[in-house]
Amino acid sequence: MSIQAKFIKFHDKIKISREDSEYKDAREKDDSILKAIKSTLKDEGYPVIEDFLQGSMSTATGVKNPGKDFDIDRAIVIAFDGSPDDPIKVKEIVLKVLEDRGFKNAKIKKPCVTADYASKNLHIDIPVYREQNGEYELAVGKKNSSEGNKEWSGSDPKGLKDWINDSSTHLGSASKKLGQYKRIVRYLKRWRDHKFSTDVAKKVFSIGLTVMAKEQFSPSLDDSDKANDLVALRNTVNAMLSGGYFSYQDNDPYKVRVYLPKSPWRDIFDGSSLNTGTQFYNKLKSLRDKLDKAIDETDLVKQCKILNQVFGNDFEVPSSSFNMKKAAYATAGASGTSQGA
Amino acid sequence: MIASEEIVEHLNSRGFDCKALDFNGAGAITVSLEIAGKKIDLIHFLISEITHLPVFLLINPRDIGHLAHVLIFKIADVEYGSICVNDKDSVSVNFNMPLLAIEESLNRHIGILDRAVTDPDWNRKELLREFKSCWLNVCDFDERPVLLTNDSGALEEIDVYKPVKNFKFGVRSYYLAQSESTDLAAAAKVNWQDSSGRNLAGKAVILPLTEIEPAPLEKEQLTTWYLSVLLKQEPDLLKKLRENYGRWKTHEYWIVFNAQVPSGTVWFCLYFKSKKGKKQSLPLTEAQLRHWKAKAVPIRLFNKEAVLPRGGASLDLAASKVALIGAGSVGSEIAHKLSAAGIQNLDIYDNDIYQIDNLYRHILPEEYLSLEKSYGLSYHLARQFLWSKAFPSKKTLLELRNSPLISSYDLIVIAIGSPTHERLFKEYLLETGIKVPVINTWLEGFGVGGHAVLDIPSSTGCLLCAYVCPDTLTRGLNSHLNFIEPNQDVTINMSGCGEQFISYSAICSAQTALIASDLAIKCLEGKITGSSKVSWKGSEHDALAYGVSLTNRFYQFSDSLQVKPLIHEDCDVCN
Repeated sequence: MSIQAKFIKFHDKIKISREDSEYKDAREKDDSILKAIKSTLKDEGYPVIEDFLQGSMSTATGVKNPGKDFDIDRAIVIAFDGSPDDPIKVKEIVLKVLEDRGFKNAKIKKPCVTADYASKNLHIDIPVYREQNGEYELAVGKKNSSEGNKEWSGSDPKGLKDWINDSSTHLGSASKKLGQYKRIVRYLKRWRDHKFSTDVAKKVFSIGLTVMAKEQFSPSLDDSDKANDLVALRNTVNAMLSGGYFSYQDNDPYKVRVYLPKSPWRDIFDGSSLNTGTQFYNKLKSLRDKLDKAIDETDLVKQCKILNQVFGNDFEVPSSSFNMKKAAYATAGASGTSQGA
Repeated sequence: MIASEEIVEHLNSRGFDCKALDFNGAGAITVSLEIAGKKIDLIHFLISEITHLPVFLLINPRDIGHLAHVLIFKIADVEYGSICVNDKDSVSVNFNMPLLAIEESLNRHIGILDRAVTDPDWNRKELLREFKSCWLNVCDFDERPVLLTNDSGALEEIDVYKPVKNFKFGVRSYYLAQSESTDLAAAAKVNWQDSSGRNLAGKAVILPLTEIEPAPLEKEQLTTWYLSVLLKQEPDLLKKLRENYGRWKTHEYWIVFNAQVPSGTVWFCLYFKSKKGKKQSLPLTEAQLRHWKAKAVPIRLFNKEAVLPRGGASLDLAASKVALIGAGSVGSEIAHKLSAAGIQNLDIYDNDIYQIDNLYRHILPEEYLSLEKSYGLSYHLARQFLWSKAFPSKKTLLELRNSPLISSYDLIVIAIGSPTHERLFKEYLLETGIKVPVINTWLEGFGVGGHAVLDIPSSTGCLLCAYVCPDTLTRGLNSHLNFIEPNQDVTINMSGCGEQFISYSAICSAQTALIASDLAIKCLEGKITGSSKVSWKGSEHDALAYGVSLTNRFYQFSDSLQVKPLIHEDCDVCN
């Protein structure tokens, strides 16, 4: 069995998608709260003209984390015409719906309305947009923000999603390479959750890892089109380290800057501390070195031990390098083929 | 054209004794030299353009004796010796520097003459080695050739039949002499018309010579040469010849000789025709020869030992037993190449009917339309490859499961382009423990390439190694050797359901068949002993124009035609 087989097993363990059974409660809650928000906003004169998922569920890069809630990033969009000048007005209506339906810690944050549903380990973020001719503006501002700190700010949430999901730059087996990229994002997220303290981990933003990995992704497929995630991850991490994201400050610490590739083009790590940047850089460097060791190692068990240290126990260590492999079959019922004679 | 004076000046400056000559208005030069005390004169006629190695002819060739690589011929009743220095296409001549080409050629001519004159043993050996070409120099080509089917070369008398009337081409236009023991009797009966469709011309005697002399220099020496050779044979042979075959009287006799020379077995023929229209017995003495007019005639020998190696086929593959499943565009080419390689026992399985639509990428001509491809192919192979025992069957690959025949094959070649059936068959072989090497071969549309995998059960690597799904590392549904990404519409539909086809040319099917056939032959010859894979990569042009996406493997692949190990580290069968 190859190390790639172990990566696939690891990936199967850590990935979460909206269709997963574990996500069922969150999905149902999302559906019901969306229905309530739509109804209330309609009554208030701001009908929802569109809604869509944002975040990892929209890009298939979500990971499970036993200590963390399930996240929902549900964007709602109202029409530009008839929208209030004050963006907080719509966010307050959304906040009230959440509070009325039993959500805890509901509050208006600068980019979204957020709340928890403790009994279902659910955390929900609802950004509010208005739209005109395909252009979106995000309702920015907190509940009591002054006039200067609240605005409808130009944003391109769909463009960002499309950018992450884009495979057109890959020559040959584009979907396989996109799939490998998304697995790498998940590996990086799990590495972050395993290697950083909780406080720092939540400042190493998922969207930051996603954008860095996308910009620096280095696919690796062998001559049978089999992915080599270990090599791809190592090369991507190495490129992230030298990709200009980390700038050296005095006496070792690093500042991290990663800009959104789409409107509003802001620095994802704006306001991030030197401590976060330094830890991020040092641990990323350590990850690269560990991956190098794993690549150089020829024994499967030893390889897995190294990777177990990097990713935690979800990366299994087999008892022997020579496990008999059982016949496993494709999950598709049929597949179109190009073969003829 | 370079002037003769210039050539003379150049050659003389290089130490030759050379003179310009006006030869009936044509420019020429002569070169005089001495080899082992013999005076030798060469002549070179000037040419307007150097298109081959310049020729030097030997003047008065008889004065120097019977030399190897020298054939005597006449120009305007004057004899010259033509010296064979090279096959004319085997040298690349410097036509830009004609003086150098002439000098080089002269040196080569002298080199041959020098060895022939100074080394009598080598000279005799070479004369015998080139016996056939010397013999052809004294042959008459006014008659149609005699086709002889004979394997053993043993002393035998056989009937010679005349060409079939009105046939100017093919074997029917030849005289036909069939040995009793020939393995081509069936082919002759079906394809060439034997005694049933031809008139008897006379008798032939196959005469295996125990001793041989170099071929005569000229036609007038034929009877002398014949009598002297007869005298040198072992007495037993002559006795048998006299007693068993010497009494039959006829108007025409062919004596077909075979003898061992340094280049192998040489076959040649003397034709005797009765002088006065009376039947005469076989001429074995000078007195008997007075009744006959003799001439050397060309003979074409049809036997495995002569025909197969000359065509690059192997006699060692004659015993191999191969099954070919699929007689489509790829399969038909494979059948052709395997037969051309010398495989005789080829069972061809296909129940598909040959259609007009198939014509441009199949090897069969139109007369096989509406016949099963397997039958058409078997008949067709038998016409070109006379020892082919190709056997047709309408059975499909899946119907071959449970056939006791499966285990009897040395190799099974599957060219059906159906991954479902091919994987089913592989699983059947695994379940039953049948250990026959199998080649699966297929091509892909739009000219992007083709593949062949050789699964040798005694080695690591199997067909399922080529089907490990790259994403899940499970038993996949498509081969990861493919250059086209799965789950795309790659068929062209011109007339509705059931009429779809994959777009590829005859070049693609032939190229795919070549890699599969090469694997097959190397496997049977024991040159490849491990499970292997081979692909050829074409162009992406047509695929991209059709909006078809290609795999990473296609873009990275640079090992076209190279044989690589088949083993995949995630195959559950092989690990």
